[in-house]
Amino acid sequence: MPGVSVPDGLLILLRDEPKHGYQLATDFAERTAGVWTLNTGQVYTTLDRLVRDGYVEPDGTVDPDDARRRRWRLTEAGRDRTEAWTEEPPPEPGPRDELVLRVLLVAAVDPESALAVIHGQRRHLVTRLQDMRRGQRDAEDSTLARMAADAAAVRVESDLRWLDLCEARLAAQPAVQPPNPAAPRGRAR
Amino acid sequence: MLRLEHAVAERAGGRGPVRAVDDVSLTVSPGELVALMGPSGSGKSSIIHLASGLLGATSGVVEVVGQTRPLTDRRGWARARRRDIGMVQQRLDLMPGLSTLDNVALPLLIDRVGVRKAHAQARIALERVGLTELADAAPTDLSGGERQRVAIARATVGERRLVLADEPTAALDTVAAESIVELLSRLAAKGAGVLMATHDTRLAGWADRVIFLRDGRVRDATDAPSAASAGPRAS
Repeated sequence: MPGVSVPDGLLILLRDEPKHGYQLATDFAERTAGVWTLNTGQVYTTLDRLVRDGYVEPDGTVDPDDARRRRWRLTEAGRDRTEAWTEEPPPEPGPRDELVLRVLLVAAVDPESALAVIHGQRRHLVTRLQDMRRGQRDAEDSTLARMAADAAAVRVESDLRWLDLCEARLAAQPAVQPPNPAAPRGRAR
Repeated sequence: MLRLEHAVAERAGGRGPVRAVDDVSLTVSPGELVALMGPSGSGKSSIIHLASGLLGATSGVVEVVGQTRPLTDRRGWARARRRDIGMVQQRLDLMPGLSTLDNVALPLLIDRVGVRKAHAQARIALERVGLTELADAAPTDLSGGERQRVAIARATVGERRLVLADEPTAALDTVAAESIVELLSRLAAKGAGVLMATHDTRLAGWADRVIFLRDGRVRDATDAPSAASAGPRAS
């Protein structure tokens, strides 16, 4: 999962109480309503790095269920870092997006078919949104699960809104002129 | 429940009649929420008006709950709107002098159903939209979302199972809008046929099928959900 901070995610799960690695992996999946899962290997390599960098340390107490399992807790630096992480602005998603790329390039090289491409993409996205909402309607989910599902649905909705705007902008511009290589004018940039 | 076949309808325009509905065929079956989507002027409201007898087709077929009738049969259409068709409008139009319960019972009371029976039916309809405890409240005491829920209860009171909703969420904020469409979708899951006109793509996700309109014509449509993706429905 590129762009998502696994170390920060683990640190915040340690904020309330010390945990061992396996528990962190389960908690991570649970608290993100199954949207993100980590395998235990990933958890241990990340923990190693966090210990090396001074954000996490062994708790020292013994797990009552299993004495061999070590539990981990936040250091002062780790606590500071979780606070900073939740308050900082999120990273910019960036303009590179497969849908945007397709629509922009089609509009550039073949304006005549741009509307058809927009309609086709809209149908795909609405179908995807329908599947999501149907799942939501039929499930008796926790609030966390609903929040996670909303995050995915709202992103699709924003893509749909963008397609509406593209359609309106293309419809508002004058009819496509035949390309004139000698005197490139105006639109096809 | 609702069937349009090659329906054509005209509206008065600045420079003569305009084809508001141009050769549209569609069906709404019991148990499905169908969304009509498109920009303003694409024919969404005209189709709702055709289905509710507020606009006549110049050609083609408009069949509502098994009946076709000309626009001139005003009594027939009025009866259909009391007994077969429920309407939910964009404006939150409830009668301010009546209680919530009386507002919901109104179509039955006009249809000369006895008060006791009408109230009993209205309570059932209010329960469906989750507003049982507001039966005695005045419409002015309700929030926008609650008023639209009452309108939906009124649209489904008695035996009416075809709901025509014209931009039912236009006057509501995002969260209330979402919950109204979710409610319509649940009503459909329980057997009502719902046709909803909306320009808001965000609401399309709750529909079983989406019909895209432009210039009075059907441009595109999503398929009905396959059994695999639909899954079991909560009731």
